[in-house]
Amino acid sequence: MKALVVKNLSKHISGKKILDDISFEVKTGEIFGLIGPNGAGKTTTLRTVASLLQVETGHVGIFGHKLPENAGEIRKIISYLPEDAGAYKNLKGREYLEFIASFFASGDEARRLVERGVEIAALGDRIGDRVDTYSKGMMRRLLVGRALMVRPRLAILDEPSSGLDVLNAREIRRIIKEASEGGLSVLLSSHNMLEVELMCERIALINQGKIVALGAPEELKKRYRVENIEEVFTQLVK
Amino acid sequence: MFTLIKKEVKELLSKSALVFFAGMALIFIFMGNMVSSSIEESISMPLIAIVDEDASGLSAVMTSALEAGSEVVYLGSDAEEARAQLEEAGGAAIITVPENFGALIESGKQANVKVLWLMRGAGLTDSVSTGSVAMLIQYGANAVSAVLVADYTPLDPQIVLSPVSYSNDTIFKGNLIEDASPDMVSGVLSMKTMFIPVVIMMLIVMGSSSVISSMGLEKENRTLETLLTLPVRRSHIIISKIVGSAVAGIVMGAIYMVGFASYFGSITATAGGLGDMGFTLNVLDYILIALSLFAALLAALCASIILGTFASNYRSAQTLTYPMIGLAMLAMLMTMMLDFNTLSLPLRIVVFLIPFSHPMIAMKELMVGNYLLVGAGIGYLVLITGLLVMIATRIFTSDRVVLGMSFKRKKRLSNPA
Repeated sequence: MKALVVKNLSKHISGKKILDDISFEVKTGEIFGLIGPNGAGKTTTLRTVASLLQVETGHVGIFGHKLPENAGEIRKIISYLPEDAGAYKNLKGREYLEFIASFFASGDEARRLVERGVEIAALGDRIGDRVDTYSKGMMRRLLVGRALMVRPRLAILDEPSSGLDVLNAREIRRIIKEASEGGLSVLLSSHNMLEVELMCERIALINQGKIVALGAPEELKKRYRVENIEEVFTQLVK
Repeated sequence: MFTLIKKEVKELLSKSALVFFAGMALIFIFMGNMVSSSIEESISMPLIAIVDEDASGLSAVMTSALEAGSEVVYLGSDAEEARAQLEEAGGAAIITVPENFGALIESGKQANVKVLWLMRGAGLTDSVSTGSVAMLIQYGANAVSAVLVADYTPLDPQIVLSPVSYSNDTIFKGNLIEDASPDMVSGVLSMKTMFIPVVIMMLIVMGSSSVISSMGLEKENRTLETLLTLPVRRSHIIISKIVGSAVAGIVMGAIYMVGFASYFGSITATAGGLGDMGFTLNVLDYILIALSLFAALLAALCASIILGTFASNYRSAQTLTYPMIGLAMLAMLMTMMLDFNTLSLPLRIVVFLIPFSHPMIAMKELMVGNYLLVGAGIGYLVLITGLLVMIATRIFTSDRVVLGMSFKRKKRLSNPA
């Protein structure tokens, strides 16, 4: 079964066409990257798949559940990490994880989810501190922990390492890769071509709301006879 | 849903918010104590010194009357000594009965009594004894008049000075209120019910501000998107925000009102009882007031959720509270200053359409048996709340809650020709 099927998806916002008949699929256990310039439609695609925005025309299906009809079921099996997301500032790191876990489980199972989140976030003793004292890197690790602790079947990650230093970005990539090896399917967007090349099995290049190329990084490099994905991107976008 | 409500309450009732409102309450308590002590001072007997430069029979009548209505720290003929003793005692005024006081009056001329005030400061509370000293002099003048009248007529001087008295009853909304003028009725009714619009205004402002701030914080901290992708119904998110904000609003309003009640209590303490005039409430009345208040609070919170979707961050959320504060203030002022039943039709419609005015006028209207207006108000509030819940739910299930609301400006094409 496909983790995600997006077929002929179009979307207008404030009268402007943001997505123009895009189609792609994410296989189970695959890390699929969506790359493109600012305003290309990456975040709109991710928000639509995450059930935040309405499906205007086209089809979005996640593990056999269709949007918007099965939005409730879909929300039980996905985890969405928005770009620049934050947590409730008045809560401690652990309290925030407990708050999220309470929507997915109760009792011992909820406690197990929280422990998994604490382990993924790897913040040490700082997990007991209020989140408004966290650095950007710590906050992102907490949020990745939050997104992955509930064992989603599909993780939707918008710029997961955006704004992080090299070490923190590397750590986030390692966590996502490890989760994917455990069977998690991932749809992520990124500006960072190197990150995409390192992590994703397949990628889609999106520009002005349209998918202009789709395939494995190696395949795309061969197709466009270039050294890296950045050059593929440059050729297609200019 | 309990987790969501707990989160909302915890977020809104932060330590800093509680400290702020406790501070406001303390300021009101302090002001109340100041006003209360000033009022006590103004109704207590003034502390004065009396200088009698005349030492005649009539000046003795005058000084005796002054003594009877005051606390006298000095009575004699030495002005310097009088001033020194009054200053030491912290008194209010030196009243001087001048030389020839008696002779002038007996020759048919008016005598002048001089008052020298010892002003302690320029504050509002520093001159409160002025009225009581003025009354004291009038009391002395009446005593002198009584002596003069007694010399020229066999009639009782009190009858000559005040030959006519009157009593008045008032019919209000079909009820006869004995020994009360319309001024007294409206005064007592207003004084005793004036507190209600202020309390309701505070509850609405606190609750609305809480819910709009909650939306602003969700947008600013970028937590709303995460919340909306969790396996929880959108309607539960809305209900949690309303319930959480109502709890936070009630707690903040209660803290604020403890201080305000202390301040207001000192002002209204002297007003007479409503029960004495036949204005009472029964159990049904209290239920109707509670229903009206609950429905108005719900309407305010639903409207605030809709306004909150316009907020892009906490700061812009603060601006969005202005329409709610404005409406609540308008309703408060209109219901405090005016009687709904004597308003012109257009103004009545305006007051009726403002949802918050209904609980504000409910108590006064129920006291005079106007159940139709209160019932119609509750019906209107239920309707408007239902409508607002529908709008809020639609917004929360649309793209608007994520993308925000935008007012598109129509571009005008300029025509150079």
